[in-house]
Amino acid sequence: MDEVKAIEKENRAPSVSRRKLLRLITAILGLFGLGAIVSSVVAFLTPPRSALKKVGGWQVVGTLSEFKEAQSLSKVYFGLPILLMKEEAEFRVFSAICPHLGCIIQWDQKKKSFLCPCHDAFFDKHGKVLKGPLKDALLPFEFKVEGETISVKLPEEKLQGYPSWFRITMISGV
Amino acid sequence: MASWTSKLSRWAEERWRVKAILSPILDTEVTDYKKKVRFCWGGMTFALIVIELLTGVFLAYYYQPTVKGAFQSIAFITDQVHLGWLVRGIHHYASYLIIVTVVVHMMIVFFRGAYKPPREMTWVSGVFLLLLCFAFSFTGYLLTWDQRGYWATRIGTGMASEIPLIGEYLMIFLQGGYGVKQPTITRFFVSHVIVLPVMLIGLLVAHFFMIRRQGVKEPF
Repeated sequence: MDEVKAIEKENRAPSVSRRKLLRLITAILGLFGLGAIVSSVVAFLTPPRSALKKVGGWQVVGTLSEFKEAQSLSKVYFGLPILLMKEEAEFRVFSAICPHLGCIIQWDQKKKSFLCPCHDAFFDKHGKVLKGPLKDALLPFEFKVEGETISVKLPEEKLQGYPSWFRITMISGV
Repeated sequence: MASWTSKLSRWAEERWRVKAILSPILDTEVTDYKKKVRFCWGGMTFALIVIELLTGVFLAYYYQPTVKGAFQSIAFITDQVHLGWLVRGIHHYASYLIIVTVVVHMMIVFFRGAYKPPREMTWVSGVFLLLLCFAFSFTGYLLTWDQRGYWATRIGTGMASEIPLIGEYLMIFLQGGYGVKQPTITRFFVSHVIVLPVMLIGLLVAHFFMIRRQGVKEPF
């Protein structure tokens, strides 16, 4: 019998006194409490959804007669610079914010391309990259012409694939 | 006749027995090797921090952390308030100087090997103090609400947004919403004048406590 007792003693689970167990339970409960406080603070400091206002929808930005003097027009859509292009009957609208690092692009009439002066990027008349340190094309805007007035709209579905700062800038306006 | 300072100290000693607490802190001889410029950069940084705290409090009496009021109130401080241009100028240029003295301080500590045990925790607290300096600079830069401050913040939060997974959340967290707008000024103002100074003072106390307990590393 003594042998059995010896083996039992050897294989006994490590002894945990009542005091140790209570201390452990208190510590675990304490961690939950700490987590509740920390997560509440982070949640408090995170702006609520209702504060995340988006811009979007149709906005009137100009009239057709403005194109008599120039082929390209610089306009503003909720604080965001955009470029309106007219080539004979063809009509195009782009965001004037370069998707590389956010400089303002302009139309270069001599080279028949969009130019970003910050890092020497060129885009063709459809907004595709010809040359420069980026892959993303210029963001084309939706547009409609009703009589004389031109309205444009941010195409939210086309923002996928652009850098996050660009997407957030576009949906927040300036 | 005893001088008024010794009268005052006797008066305080009779009541609270302050000598027992203060003399180990104040009655310390500065050894000769410490009387060199290379041992002064931490102290210079601290002096500049005190200047920043004082001028910052003065500026806070007039500054308005709003889109409409920020730039105007700073123009008001600079142009209208008596000596406002001086207080603002000191706050502005001392902030640049702090970065200089901090970097020199850090380099001297590094090249003297003073960061090694047993002083490694002083170094660690110093690294956090350096990060705090950057946080002060970043938040303070926006508060002028001019073109430079606005775009510097756009670049800063834009960099944060490029972090994988949490980037967008972090950007919204920093800005208080999409875009750098009124919530961003509010956030940066509170951080700049309340949260960061409290953290700074706490870390400085720890930093100085460790230095006083261990002494400055002696020359080779």
